Amino acid sequence: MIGVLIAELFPVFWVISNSLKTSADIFHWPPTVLPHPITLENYRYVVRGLGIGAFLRNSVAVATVSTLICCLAGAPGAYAIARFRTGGRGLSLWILMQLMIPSVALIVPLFVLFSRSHLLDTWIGLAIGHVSFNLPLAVWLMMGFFAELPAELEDAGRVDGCTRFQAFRLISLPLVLSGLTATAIFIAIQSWNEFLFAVVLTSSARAQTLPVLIATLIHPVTDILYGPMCAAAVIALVPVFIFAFAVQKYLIRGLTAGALKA
Amino acid sequence: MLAPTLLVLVVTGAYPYVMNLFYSLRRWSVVFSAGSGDFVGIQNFVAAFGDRSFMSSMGRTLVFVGLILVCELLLGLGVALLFNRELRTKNLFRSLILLPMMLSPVVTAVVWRMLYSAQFGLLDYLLLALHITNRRVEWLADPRLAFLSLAVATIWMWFPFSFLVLTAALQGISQDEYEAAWIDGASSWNAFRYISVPHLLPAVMVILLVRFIDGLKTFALILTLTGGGPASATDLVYYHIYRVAFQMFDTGYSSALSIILVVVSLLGSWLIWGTGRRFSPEVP
Repeated sequence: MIGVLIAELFPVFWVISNSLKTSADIFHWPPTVLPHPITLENYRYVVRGLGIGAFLRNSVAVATVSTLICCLAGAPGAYAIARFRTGGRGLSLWILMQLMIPSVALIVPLFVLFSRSHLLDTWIGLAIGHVSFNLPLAVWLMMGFFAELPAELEDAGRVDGCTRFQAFRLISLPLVLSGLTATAIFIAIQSWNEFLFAVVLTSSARAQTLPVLIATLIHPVTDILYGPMCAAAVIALVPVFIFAFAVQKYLIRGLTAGALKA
Repeated sequence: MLAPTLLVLVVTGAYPYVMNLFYSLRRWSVVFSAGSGDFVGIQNFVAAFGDRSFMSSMGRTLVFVGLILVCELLLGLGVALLFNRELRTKNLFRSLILLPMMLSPVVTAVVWRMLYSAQFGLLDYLLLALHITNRRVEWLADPRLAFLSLAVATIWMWFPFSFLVLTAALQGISQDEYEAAWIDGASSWNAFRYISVPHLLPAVMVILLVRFIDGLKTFALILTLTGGGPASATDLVYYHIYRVAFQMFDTGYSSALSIILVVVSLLGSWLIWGTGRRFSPEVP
């Protein structure tokens, strides 16, 4: 059992190890598992030589803004659909379909739209682009959480004089807060990892995110720098791992919701 | 109440789809022509079926998706059965197993690029050391192997999903049925076949549907790992559409192709779902 875990995670461990190796050590044959000596030169190069700070900043900005918009716009909608069946089956079906449709169908129109409104190569534009595929996901996940709440609580609130929105804000929201947080983190991870939109909608360090930088390291114009490539990859994966660990319980619940019969 | 959500949804969701449809009926290039190009009706769609490179990439994609579905399912099932017992470290294990799924495809590409390298890759070293081959294998540069290499990387990335869903389903099966079977003298294989499998079918359906649709969308891994593969070996349909749109700048045609892809994924989903329903009354 532990063997399976090790076999599965070993490739990741190896990349981390490679990021700490000197160039000579990486090319060493037979390949070594642990770096010897351990060096931080790859990280230094990535930070100073490549300016990963800018890309990090962009990734953080895009993920934050996109998540914020999705949560703010999605929560009321998810509540309305879960509680009052607004829009009926049509709307729910539409949201589900949006999850299914490949985003490549979205990207050309978005590209044209953005180029005409001067949103290309801005991180705000990219964040908005991310919303187009994150929002259905957010609504779908949050719908599940809102549906679990017993309606009696809100009815009690309304009997005491709340408006519907107050009931939503003061009663339902606080109760699903943990679920919402998990949804927000999941969406943030999706944005952080996202590649297609980032590559298409941006063209310079002004707005490009981490995955784009890593991609240029994998296919550079000149020689491939394996060490820095691994270092950049590690920088990209550490936040994801931390966040994923923090919310794994909710992630799993959300992902498996379709398979279980309550 | 619903207004803000609907507004954002429509602007970011509905509008691009409509525009996509609009573009697909035209022949133009966003780079080379101002305005919206000339209306050509369904010419783009008709051309697609005669386009050899598109059709073969579609075929390749379907084979690819079939392959990864089977492997992910089996691997996920195996690991789920293996881990299906009470453990105190269950949370830690589960989040660790989850990791490949949470990585950016670009990071996964880095991981496998390092493993597959013929110069210093661990894979080649293991094969040579175990005397399975006597030459270093070019996993990514050999047209025959690149497809498999891509498949392996994808399966590694996604089998945790199948593991998770199957584990959840396994834990939902009540132990009573197994006890009753054991009392009646059933073998483990029979217990598995007649108790576990029927209960797992809804979960299997979910996995097949989700991964089918997702598999058709394989893109980032191709762009970063193989670049379409040596001699189009890994030119899958999503990547192909991307190339048509952003390297050949044939915007109208790419929009048409993406609509065809949507139709294919809907058709495929419907087929999978229909087959599942016929096999088990438990599938909704």
